[in-house]
Amino acid sequence: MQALFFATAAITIAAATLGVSRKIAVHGLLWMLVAFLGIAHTMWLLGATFAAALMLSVYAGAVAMLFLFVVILFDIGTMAASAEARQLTAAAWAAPLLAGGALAGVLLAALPAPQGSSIPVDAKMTGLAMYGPYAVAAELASFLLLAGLAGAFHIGRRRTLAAEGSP
Amino acid sequence: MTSLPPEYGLGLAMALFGVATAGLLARRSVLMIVLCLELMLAAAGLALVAASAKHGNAQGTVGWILLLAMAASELSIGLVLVRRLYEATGTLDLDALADRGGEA
Repeated sequence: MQALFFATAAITIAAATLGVSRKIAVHGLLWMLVAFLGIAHTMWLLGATFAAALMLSVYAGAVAMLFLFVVILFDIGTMAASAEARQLTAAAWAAPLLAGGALAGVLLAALPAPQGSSIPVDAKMTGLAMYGPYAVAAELASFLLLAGLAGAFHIGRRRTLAAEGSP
Repeated sequence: MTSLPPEYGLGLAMALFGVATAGLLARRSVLMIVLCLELMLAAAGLALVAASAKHGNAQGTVGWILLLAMAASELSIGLVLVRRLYEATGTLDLDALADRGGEA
């Protein structure tokens, strides 16, 4: 179990590192997809099977596909790659790596020593909490999703100046 | 019953958050910055799930579901804004956009 976790963690961190550093957006996105799958597997190893399924369907499914469609539809990848290729030098990475490494170091230093084993949390427990004590929070989440839907539709509408009647 | 200590998952979440922070600071393409933000949110979600596994109750998982709803809304609005930005300016490079001084 532990060897499986360490293999997954190594793959996930390597894929995330490659994902944030690729110059072509599609390549970074596909590496990030591997990182998302690694996070889902870690959740599975922690006994949170329902959370892992959500991670797979929402992140690896919806989020990555949405990114892929945007990149493909607008040919942003090759366009941005040429501009970023000049800027992303080793010197440009030094300060961000220092900051990110310091943040991760401080967080990992505060990590308590591993003790005990994970307790599985399944869909039934989650559902009972979600529609019991956290029913208001579930309603708020649905409000948020509706606002996201309406906002995306409104901002993304293809509008012409004549149709809006502006000068 | 799984034998993996939940602190391991917490540690992976912290390392991923650091990687995503480095990417967020280094990249200049708006699209890659949004992608790094998504990785940060996923790392925070892994920390919530690890906390849920530590205590054996569903509160962390409920937080993870709320985080998923927030990430989905943020991503849909964010990607539409990226598209509008690209249509209006023809570039997604933050340095190039900063040089415009807010004219576009």
